[in-house]
Amino acid sequence: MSIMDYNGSAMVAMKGKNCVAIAADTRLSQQLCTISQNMQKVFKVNDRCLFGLAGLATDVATYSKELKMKTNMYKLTENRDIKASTFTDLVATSLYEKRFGPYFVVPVVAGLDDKGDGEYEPVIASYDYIGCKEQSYFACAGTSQSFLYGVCESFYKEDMNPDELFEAVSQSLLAAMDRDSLAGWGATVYVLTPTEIIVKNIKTRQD
Amino acid sequence: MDSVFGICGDDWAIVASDSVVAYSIMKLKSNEDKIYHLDDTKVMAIAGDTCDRERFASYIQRSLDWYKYKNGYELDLESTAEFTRTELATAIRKGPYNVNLLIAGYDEKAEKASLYWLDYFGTLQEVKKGAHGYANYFTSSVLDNHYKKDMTLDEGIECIKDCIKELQTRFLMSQPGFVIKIITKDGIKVETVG
Repeated sequence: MSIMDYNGSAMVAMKGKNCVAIAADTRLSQQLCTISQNMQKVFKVNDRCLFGLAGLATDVATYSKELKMKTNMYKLTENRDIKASTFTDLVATSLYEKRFGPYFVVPVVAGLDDKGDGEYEPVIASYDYIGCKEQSYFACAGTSQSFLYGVCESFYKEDMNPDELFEAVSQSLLAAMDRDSLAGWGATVYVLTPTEIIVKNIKTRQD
Repeated sequence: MDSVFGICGDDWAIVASDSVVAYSIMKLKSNEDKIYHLDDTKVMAIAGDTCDRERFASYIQRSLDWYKYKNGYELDLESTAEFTRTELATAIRKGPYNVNLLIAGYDEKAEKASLYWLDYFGTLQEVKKGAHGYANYFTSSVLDNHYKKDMTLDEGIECIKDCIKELQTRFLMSQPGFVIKIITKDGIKVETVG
């Protein structure tokens, strides 16, 4: 089994109109044996940006802390929160720093860039484990990645509002998780709007 | 080959480990205590290579003692688990410790007991019940079957004894002796089976 499949995960993010959503399963496994059903895989950078990490659990913990350290330093030196689009570049460069001894994580970033006048540009980015950034209208990662691409393409439509976005993201994740034996055991969906972050835990098939 | 497993309630936690030290096809010792005391309210049960187990346990114990002498107070349970995780995560890419552990303890300030599952990569997860090694395959279902919310300490001990019985019945390797450590707000109690 590949090292990226050792701990199992499913992660998806989608753009909406002035909102983004990111969802991940909550399973922690040791190959085929489930250890826990409430592992956190999505982390908050600030009120306008979230990121999720799929891949090896130890590197999820280490790398999320490294990013937290870098964004804290950014905030102390620049005296402002990091923009979502800048954060996407930070993720790419910090992963490439470890090009010849990488963190076995596949990040997904979801955020909103403030354009002024109440307009927000949604930012979605996905990467490989050495930092190749790909920005699109949705992002998939984890052991369920291939299952997710198909179902996301079908459920996605442009300019969704937060409720529609929540439905699209949840249904995509559920459909893919049900097919993937390494992901599942519950899911958490985060919908990021300019005023709030809505967090919902979905009860899924407990297998 | 080591069996390490544990279960956690609201204000108590129990960990158990087998007491065999194996060397090739031989049992070097059958009354080894693989559950190390980090302080009066925390224990660390370690499964893995004997040398790494001894070295790593000793290193963590000394590091926590140093923290206590340096700062004047003991590190709390969650931070102890996180510190141990960081040591394992840094070691994996330099010179890995081939150890998987369960850290259990009672946090006086939070007034609750916790159990943490760590593996040799540096994976950390707070769990209500967990096991390492081959024991995971045998005891997971027994732990799942017994566990319920608001479990009492006696039910927990019953559960651990059933896990031991399961291992002694079905596990190929003979593990005649087990050490059980029970952590509550009153401290650590030690029991041996077999």
